[in-house]
Amino acid sequence: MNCEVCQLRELEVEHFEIREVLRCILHTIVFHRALGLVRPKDIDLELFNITYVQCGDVELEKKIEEKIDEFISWVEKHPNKKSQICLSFYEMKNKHYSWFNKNERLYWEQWFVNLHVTHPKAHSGKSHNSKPMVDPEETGYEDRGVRREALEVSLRDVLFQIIKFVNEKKDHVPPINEKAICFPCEITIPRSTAELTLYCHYPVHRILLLGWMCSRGCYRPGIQPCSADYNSWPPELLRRPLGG
Amino acid sequence: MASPHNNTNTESAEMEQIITEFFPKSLQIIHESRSPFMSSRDYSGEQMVSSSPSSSSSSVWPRDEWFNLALRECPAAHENLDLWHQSYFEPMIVDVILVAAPPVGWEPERDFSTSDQYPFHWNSDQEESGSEGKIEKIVERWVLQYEGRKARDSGAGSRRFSNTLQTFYKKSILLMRSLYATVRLLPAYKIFRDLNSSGRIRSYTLSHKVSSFLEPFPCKEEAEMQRFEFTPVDSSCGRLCLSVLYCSSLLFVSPESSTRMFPQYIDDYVGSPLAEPLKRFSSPTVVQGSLLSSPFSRRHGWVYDHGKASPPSFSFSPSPNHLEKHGSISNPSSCRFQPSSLPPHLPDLPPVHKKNMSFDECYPSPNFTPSPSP
Repeated sequence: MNCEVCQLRELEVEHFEIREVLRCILHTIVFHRALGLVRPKDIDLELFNITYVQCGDVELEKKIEEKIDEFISWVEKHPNKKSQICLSFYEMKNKHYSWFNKNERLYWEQWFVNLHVTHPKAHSGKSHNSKPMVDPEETGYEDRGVRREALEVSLRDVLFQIIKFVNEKKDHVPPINEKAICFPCEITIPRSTAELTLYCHYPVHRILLLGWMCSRGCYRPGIQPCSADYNSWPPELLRRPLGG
Repeated sequence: MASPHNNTNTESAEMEQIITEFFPKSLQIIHESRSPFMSSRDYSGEQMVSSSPSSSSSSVWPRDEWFNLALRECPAAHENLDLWHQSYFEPMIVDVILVAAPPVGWEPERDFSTSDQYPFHWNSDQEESGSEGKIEKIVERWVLQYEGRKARDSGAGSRRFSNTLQTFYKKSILLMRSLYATVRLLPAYKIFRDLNSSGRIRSYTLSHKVSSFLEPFPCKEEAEMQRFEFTPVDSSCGRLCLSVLYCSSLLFVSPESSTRMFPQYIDDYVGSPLAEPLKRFSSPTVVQGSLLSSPFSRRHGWVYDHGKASPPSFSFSPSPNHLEKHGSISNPSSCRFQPSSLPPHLPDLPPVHKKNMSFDECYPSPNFTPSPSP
């Protein structure tokens, strides 16, 4: 089974916008993967004129909120950095080895939410030209309004990106478990783009080639080992192996 | 033990039921997010978080649980769907129509240099309660269809067909999820939200029309709309298809008319030294801001002409075209229209035939749940 990966467009957000943006994106993805019986909830964002849908599962909502809190805490310690949140869906498979059984996660889909958290620009009160001085607060307000509108458009584009992906790729989705609302999933908060971890669905084994490997140490030269195409990723997005 | 042949017949019947249910469910999703005051979205807080979505007994409203999407049963969405119950090969066309009041003093026979500026169709046939008619514009057209294909030999056996059924239902569920999310992202949803969420009276509303025939838009108008096509869901005998043509932006602009008021200085604004502290603000010339709380209200304003209000003209970017006549209008929400100085040019079109629809029919909850895949 393929592990499909969707890299969502990067969004430039300010700190106070993180929660709403992440809620919107993560819940939209989860709603499309909560294929058990759901009673959808419409949620209107406060900062944007966008309505997204939650699947209505309390545990999932709690899980998402916890991860968003984690991410926000990390952002506060690492300001002005690009970051990525990974939402992965997996199946538990029981692997039979000669001497033991092992439950292993088989990832079949990964979503990467790319955020660039910025801080608002400070406005200088000095005017260096002969033009009449513009009230910096007014200019800032207008700039913020323009930026907010642009972010709303971008966020809507990301939501459409999710919908298109869900529509175009359906074959890899496992059969529905009527006892569960949603497929098992995990949300990973990476530390920074320099430490992004990639997961693949292959069993763990180490192959060292050109110094690149995924976090499970899986890479087969000449063959795309997991859903990610390593060659297209910039080097700083992959973690170098430690030692040999 | 049931014979493979019987199993195949049962699964074939279940497949047909899924296809049949596709139409009312899709229509319900569209209808609930486009028909004001008919939404299952309960602003009084019905949507309680529940760890057990199947506990519908705690719900105020009975719910239709087809495609694992528990929505409040909406009789209006199931009205007059006999055609699709009898034959799901008929396409279902759902037009979402923006309906607004005509401007005061507007004369249909006025000639304008171009019809492109005025996209609205003039419905001169409706005269209800003293209304002079309504201006209508199709802002969305949803097309739902089951395209059949040549009968295939199912000689591979019932097991393969059973897998196909499970997969078909799973993909149909995914399609419904996407539809549910998409209707909330399209521009018309903002109008719906605005109409539903506040008690303010608007000069416009949303209506919808369901038909089985597709009256094409003029090429120019269709070219200006955007299309979104959901990936079809294949079954053994055909595929479910769903697409939407929509106006990409619904901008409200100030009317370009001779009755537009010139800006005037207001000396006695509240807080002005010239104003008495408790003086009521009653300038004869008032420029009011947006009537809408939505983003496209930023670029418009209404101008009062001696107490008369001018509703915004509906300008669709890129430049709109006039609306072609189509079938009947269903379920227009009542609203009061304010007078306007908008001088749209509308083509000389045959009157709209109004279809009377009642919403008494209830749709039974599904008793079909495909068994999980083996």
